[in-house]
Amino acid sequence: MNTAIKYQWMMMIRSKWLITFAVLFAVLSSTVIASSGHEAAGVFTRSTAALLNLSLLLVPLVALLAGSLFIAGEKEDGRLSLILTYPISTRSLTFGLYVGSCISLWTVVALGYGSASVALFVTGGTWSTFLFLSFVLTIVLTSIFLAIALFVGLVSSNRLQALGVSLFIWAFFVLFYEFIVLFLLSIVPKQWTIFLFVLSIILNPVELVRVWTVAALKSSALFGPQLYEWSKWAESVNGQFTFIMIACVWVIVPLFLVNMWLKRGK
Amino acid sequence: MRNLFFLLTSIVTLLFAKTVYGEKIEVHKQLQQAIDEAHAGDVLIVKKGIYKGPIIIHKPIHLVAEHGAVVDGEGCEYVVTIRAPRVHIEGLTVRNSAHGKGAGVLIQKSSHVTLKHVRIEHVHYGVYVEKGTNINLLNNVIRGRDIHFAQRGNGIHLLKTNGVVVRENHISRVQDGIYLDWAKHTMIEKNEVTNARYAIHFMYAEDGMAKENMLTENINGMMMMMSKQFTIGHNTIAKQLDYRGYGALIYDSEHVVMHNNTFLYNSTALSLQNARHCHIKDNEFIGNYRALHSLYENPGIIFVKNKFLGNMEDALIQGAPIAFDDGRKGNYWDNYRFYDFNDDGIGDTPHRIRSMYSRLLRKWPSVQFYFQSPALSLLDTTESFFTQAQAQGEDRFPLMEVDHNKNKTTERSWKLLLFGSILFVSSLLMIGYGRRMTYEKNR
Repeated sequence: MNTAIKYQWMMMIRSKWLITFAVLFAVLSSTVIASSGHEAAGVFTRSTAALLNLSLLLVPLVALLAGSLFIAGEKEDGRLSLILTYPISTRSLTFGLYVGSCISLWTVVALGYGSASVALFVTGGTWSTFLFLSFVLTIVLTSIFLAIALFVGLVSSNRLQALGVSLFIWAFFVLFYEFIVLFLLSIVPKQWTIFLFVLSIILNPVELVRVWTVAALKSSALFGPQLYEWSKWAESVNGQFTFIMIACVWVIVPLFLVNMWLKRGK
Repeated sequence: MRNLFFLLTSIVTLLFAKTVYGEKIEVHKQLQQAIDEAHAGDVLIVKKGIYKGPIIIHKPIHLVAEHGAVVDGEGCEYVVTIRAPRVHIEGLTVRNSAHGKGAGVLIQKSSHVTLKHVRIEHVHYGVYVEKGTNINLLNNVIRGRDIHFAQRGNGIHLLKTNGVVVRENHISRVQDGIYLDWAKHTMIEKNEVTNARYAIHFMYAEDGMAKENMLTENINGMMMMMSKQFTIGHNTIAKQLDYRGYGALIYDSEHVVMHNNTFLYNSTALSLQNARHCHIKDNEFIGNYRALHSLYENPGIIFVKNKFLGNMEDALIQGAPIAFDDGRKGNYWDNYRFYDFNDDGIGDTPHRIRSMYSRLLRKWPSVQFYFQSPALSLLDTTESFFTQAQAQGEDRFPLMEVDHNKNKTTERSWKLLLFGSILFVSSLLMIGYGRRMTYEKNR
């Protein structure tokens, strides 16, 4: 196994903070799904929205904080400079740091979804494709935000700065973004609506995963008659493929920047 | 001598009866010819094979088909036409009517006709009944062509009929599943309709019952227009998810009783548009985008003991207000946030049906894109604590408890347990392994 992956995984999974979050996420998701999950089915409902919203709110926050604070800490303590002296290429270092963090956070998400499913089973709920889909897309969301977090951690000079930037990015993507788009919608001409929505999905991974989940559950009638044509496309194979492509770009671009940064540091 | 006379008479009578009534005739080819030659009351056993249509039945006979007996219309307008009373067809397969017109089976001005276990495929209309009385359509399978619904005909079309029973049919790929056009005294029971425009379409229909039907994945489940005196009970109306989709729409109709129906995952579950003197009670609205929609005036409506669970929006009232209780009992709302201190099963404060989201939506249709998104649902919840937004209506006697048992499956979902345990155990192993790895390194 790549030494960097091993190192990163080892260090992150050791963090008490991450374990605390894992337990919190497991408890929250189990509660949410056990209290409302009986109506969860193969389509998008308010109960499925509740679990998805929990992921959309918490997962980016944790991925950003865990990823950026960890790297910023390494940098602050000088461990990163030490690692950079090791005889490994920047590319495999970037890859290692990223995959190591991913494994740790995927574990956390899996624990959450695993305990939620068991809770649902105990309370007499039934299997639905939503659970699996939501799990997979939460993994995608985690991966995207970890890539961003690595970059944030690297460019920040200390932990405090990393914390501030991460919180800002989280609040922007999760809380303010929709209202900004709605504001823009009110000032642009009506025929730009679809273009603006599409742009808003491309530019925000949280939106990407939310819309992707709805489309993958073939429930995009939810978006209303205005977006009918577009929702049909989003549900099609081409649409799903495009979502995958956008997600890949969101992972690759930050990692590319991380790689450049590390190379410069070397 | 007298005995011999009696014997002879009875033999002659029996012989006569046999040729006139109830003879069993096996048909191997030339079905039309066999029908023409048969007598009223004969039973024609249609052997396995393909018979060329069109077939016209103009006398009271029974056609009992063996498995694999097919009447192929080869694109003719009506594949089988029934123009006589007391015709009984069983087990036949009927296929290939003309494109854009005609039907698999046409029943014209007949009475006491029964179609049972008939399979009708690749046709424009499935069964077209014109001015029939006492017609039974039982256990048939009707499947139209795989084209846009605007180009298809209806599954079962009842025009000016009286006393038709439609039971346990499976209808798919048609324009309207069951169409009641000026039909009276119709019983629609235990049918399954899917992939149609409207599953059941009532038009100027009177007096009838629709119960225990399963209407899924159509544009509209039930469309009732200008009709009266219907009882709609114990139906499951699910996944009408098209953006124009309604579970049931009652338009300009009166005296309709809807009880114990389950509306599951529809775009809009129930829409009342000038529905007069209707009773809507004991229905379940689960996981719909909008559970109830009301437009125009709906006078004399009684809306009680319904259950609202996990709908995105409970009600949108665009016309005159609706009473959500009868003065003693109301409905169950899963988002009711108060208590029942006197323990009478009814919440102590009225339930105000409102959501900031639906208010925003009316002003600003694009907001629909953010249905239940994290930011908007946070705002909606926060707002509900602080403001008294304009309500869609008020239930003065909200019920506190809901009988969950009806829909609860007794079967355990082992797939769910397997999925959960795999994730749970593997994540614990990963955490354990990660931490142990650290320990070894430190040592």
